[in-house]
Amino acid sequence: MEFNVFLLAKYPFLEEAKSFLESYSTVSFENLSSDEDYTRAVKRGVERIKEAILFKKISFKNENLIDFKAEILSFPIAVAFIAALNDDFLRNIYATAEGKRIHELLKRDSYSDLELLLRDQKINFYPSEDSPSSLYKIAFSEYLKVSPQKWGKIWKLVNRQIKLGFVYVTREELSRLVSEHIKNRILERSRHPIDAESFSGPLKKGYIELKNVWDSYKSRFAKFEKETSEVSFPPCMVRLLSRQENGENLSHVERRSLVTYLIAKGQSIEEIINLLKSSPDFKESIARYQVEHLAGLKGSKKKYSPPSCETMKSYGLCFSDEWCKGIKHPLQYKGKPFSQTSKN
Amino acid sequence: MNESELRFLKSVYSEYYLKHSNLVEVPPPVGKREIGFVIGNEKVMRRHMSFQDNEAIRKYILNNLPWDAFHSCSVYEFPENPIDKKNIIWNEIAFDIDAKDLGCEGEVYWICDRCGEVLKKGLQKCPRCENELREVNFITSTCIEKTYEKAKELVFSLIEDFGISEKEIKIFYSGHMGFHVYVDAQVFREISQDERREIIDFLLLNELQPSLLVTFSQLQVKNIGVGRRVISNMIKIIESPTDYVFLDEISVKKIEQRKNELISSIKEGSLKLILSLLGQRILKRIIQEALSMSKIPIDPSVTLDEHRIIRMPGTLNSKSSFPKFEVSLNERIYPLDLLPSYGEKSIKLKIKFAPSLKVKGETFKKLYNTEEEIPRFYAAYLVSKGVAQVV
Repeated sequence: MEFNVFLLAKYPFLEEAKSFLESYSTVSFENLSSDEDYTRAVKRGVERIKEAILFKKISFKNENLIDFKAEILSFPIAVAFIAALNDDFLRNIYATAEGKRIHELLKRDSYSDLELLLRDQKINFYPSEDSPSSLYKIAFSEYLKVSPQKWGKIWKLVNRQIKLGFVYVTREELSRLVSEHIKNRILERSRHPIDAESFSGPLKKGYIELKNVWDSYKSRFAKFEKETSEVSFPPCMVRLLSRQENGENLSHVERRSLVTYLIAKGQSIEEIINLLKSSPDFKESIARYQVEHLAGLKGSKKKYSPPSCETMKSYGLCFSDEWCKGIKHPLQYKGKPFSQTSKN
Repeated sequence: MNESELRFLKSVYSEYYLKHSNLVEVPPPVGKREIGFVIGNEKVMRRHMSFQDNEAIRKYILNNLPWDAFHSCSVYEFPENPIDKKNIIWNEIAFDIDAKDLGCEGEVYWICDRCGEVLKKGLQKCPRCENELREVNFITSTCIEKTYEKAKELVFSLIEDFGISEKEIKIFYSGHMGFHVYVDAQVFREISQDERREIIDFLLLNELQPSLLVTFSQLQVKNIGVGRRVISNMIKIIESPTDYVFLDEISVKKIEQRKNELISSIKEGSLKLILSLLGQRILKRIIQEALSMSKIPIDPSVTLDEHRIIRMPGTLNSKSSFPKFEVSLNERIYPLDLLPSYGEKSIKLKIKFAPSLKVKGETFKKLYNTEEEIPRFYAAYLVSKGVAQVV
């Protein structure tokens, strides 16, 4: 079987990459530690994750094409590391960075590989006949599966061209969708449990290195968690806060609801920015402007209030508990009375 | 409600179910759905029940005459278990449109249960005897018709926008002031809550960015998705301009003169003619109005909650003692005229108050502090509303 190794190095998650690795693995498991290709692949696997943690993106240089075998093999190794480290926050950071890398590669190569990726990921796409501004259409259910609404209002179904069950998209948009889809598949793959104890040789060394990098990165967030007493937070905000802390990409509405609530509860701009750093798509300058804008320090100088319970309900973000009865606004939430809290 | 009213309602329920238990129909697979009933004089809700088939449910209903009956939209492995242990096999999706969400409260009265005073205006206490007043919302034919139209718009959107086949959609009159649209389509079976939220937002126009639909620079409206709804509502405005108070006499006259031309240009998504004829200010008002008309005001909690139980088709609704039944999408009908036949014999009632209402082709007149012989099915409606007593 002939392989387009450069293509596999760019997109090591392709089905074909599995066959390539199977056909190439002539080294027995016992001798893996001494195999040079393998050692370089582990090194690149560690690098993939470190880049994701520190720069929120994974690089792709032309020399990666020369060492194509290490590049292809480094991907399943990196996923195995993520599975062994078993932290949802890290899982999100890594998968998002891989997604970004794919999107940037597609864009760099003028989307020439887009249709190949769509077919590989079994995303059904069709040429669009009736919308001049779109090149493709995809089933609305597939469109919704990749949750693109998290990227802003323009991606919400309400703002899309939809007809007879199909959403119309441009090539650029479809490229973001397929990248998001692959990101979700990486998230799934990295949830398969792997016991770090089973690692040896370069894998064990790589795992220890990554654990140290990750632990020191995470300790930066511990401060906020300690200072935030969740007892008086309503369940809707506790959910948003915990999803944010787990590195999930909150939608615009979700993030805005949480930030305006935290501002109203007296959290400082710095504390909120620090919390938002866990977002996979975090960009400090943008986040800072947005938080300061919501706090009334920038732009229109209007301080925004958190949404009422009714609005939270209409967003589908209300998850009331027994202490929500009778309140109309998340800020009115008092939570479990102190006497009851202390009994538990 | 005292003993004789409860007995009377039970007799109407019994008559209805003896005649029409075959209308009680839970969608298949019946045995894999959670069933719930409101039973007894205390009106207690009993959930997490399961029945082998529709026959077993009908038998239970005939024996127990529940006030209300519900089935789950989801299909479970263990329907009788508590919610977290039911294990969903697949979800079907329900939409609930209530007249209230269209700003149609029905005919609202405040009634004093002590002295029988009836007020049109909301007051805390009865001006005659100082007793607390009770708010009663009566069904009105206008509200029913308006809500039915919105339910049809919803069905049309499911077909045109989401590509759902008409065969997979059922539309029901809820028995009170709303309609349920029930969809069992493969494409909706496995969607998550987040995805349901997107569909809800699409219908409620939450976070809509009008500038993505209407491009003023090109004077175009996109005739697709929400844009299709906006165009169809703009045409409605042009068809009957006198119904819209923001259109002044001159604008109405101009519209009437070139109505057909305007309609065909709007159908193509072009705003050029309407702008040149009516000016920017009126065009903007028309678009604003069309946008607000394009909202399909479903109850988000019903569609979002995958464990939701919904009123069982063919059963009576205790708010009115009218049944929930399937209505056709295509006919131009008034749903309350299609009420199945039951309770035709008359009964004498002491009526505090009853506004006029059209049911089964007959218009029941407005009644105030009187004793009157009326058909039992309509008597059950007034008794359920707490405005009449059996003599």
